[in-house]
Amino acid sequence: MITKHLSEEAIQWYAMHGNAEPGVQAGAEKELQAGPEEGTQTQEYLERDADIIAHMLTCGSCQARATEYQSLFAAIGQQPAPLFDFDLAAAVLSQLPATLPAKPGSARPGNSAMTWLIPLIVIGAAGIPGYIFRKNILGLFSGISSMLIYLAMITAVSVVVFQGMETYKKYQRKIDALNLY
Amino acid sequence: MKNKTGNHLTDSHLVDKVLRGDTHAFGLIIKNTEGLVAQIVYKMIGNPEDRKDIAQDVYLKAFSKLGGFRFQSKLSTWIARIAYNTCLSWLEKKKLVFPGDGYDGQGTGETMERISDRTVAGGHGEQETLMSRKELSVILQGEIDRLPAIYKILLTLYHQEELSYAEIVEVTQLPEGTVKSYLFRARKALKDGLSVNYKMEEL
Repeated sequence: MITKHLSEEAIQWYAMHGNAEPGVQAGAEKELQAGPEEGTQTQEYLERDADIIAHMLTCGSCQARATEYQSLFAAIGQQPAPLFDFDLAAAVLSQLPATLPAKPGSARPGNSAMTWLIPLIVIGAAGIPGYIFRKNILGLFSGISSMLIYLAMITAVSVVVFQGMETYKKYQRKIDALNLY
Repeated sequence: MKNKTGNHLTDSHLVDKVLRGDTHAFGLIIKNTEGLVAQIVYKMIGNPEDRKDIAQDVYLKAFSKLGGFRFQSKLSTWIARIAYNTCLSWLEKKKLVFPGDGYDGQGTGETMERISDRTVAGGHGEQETLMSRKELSVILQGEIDRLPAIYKILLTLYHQEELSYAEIVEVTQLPEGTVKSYLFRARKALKDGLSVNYKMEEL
């Protein structure tokens, strides 16, 4: 039994799922932000949900907060949906290209054959010379100092790290573009 | 996603018809999904002319890529994702400011004033002091519009369009945890903004 007032997360969860059946509640436990580790998850969620519901039965303040959210959700759901003020279908259909969209697999005949052929060509192109000149290739690295090998490894790792950072920055830029605070 | 036209053709049937050259079927796809696309475009793009161009662009892209649709999600979700990405690319390209820019996390002064004016000017009669549902809807929309765009979109997709978390993840490509976290914050920000002004029960 929870004696303190419920957290905002718990209130939101109750507002959305508090009146649902226990099975549905267990499926909706994800509403609560800080969930326990997988494995004991469902049982712990059920216990926590039961605690929340038990608290709700006795706490008028938390009930009022949940009711506010329920009113809010209902109001959002009833908001008029925006509509385009022109005939979108007609506008789009008049601009459709003459050619049909490509069907998966059929638009490019031999597509599946190419899927196999290209790797085979690549492997062949690299593998055959590699097999023929294998002794020379091994000899190439025998003369290289370990320092040089480390340098090459560090360079490779650095490139991977920088690419990862760039991907992350790109993601952040997209998030920033969405005007988060 | 609600079927706005009342037709009962499945995604698979519609896509198959389009791929066989039936453009009328693509018209049905547009009719079925334009509500969801409108929600996304209106929440992300402020300029009406831009919305018009983007909406058309979304469906032209959808048409050209339809052959690659693998039915791993609902067709409406797939098109919503195209709409979301198209809006995002548009905003990045144009470096435009979102509607809702300047959100400060506080209740809106404008709304507050309007409510206060209404209450003062309306006298003491019950009919006069109670706001009509339409007015409350306008106030709520005003508060929603003040939220950051991603919050608006998530609230709309979850509470109005009734998309599941998985579908929202598919549309926005945000991690599920992020979607839940933003939704929580969006609901709280909206409730806090409205609570500054009046009782939520009035809604």
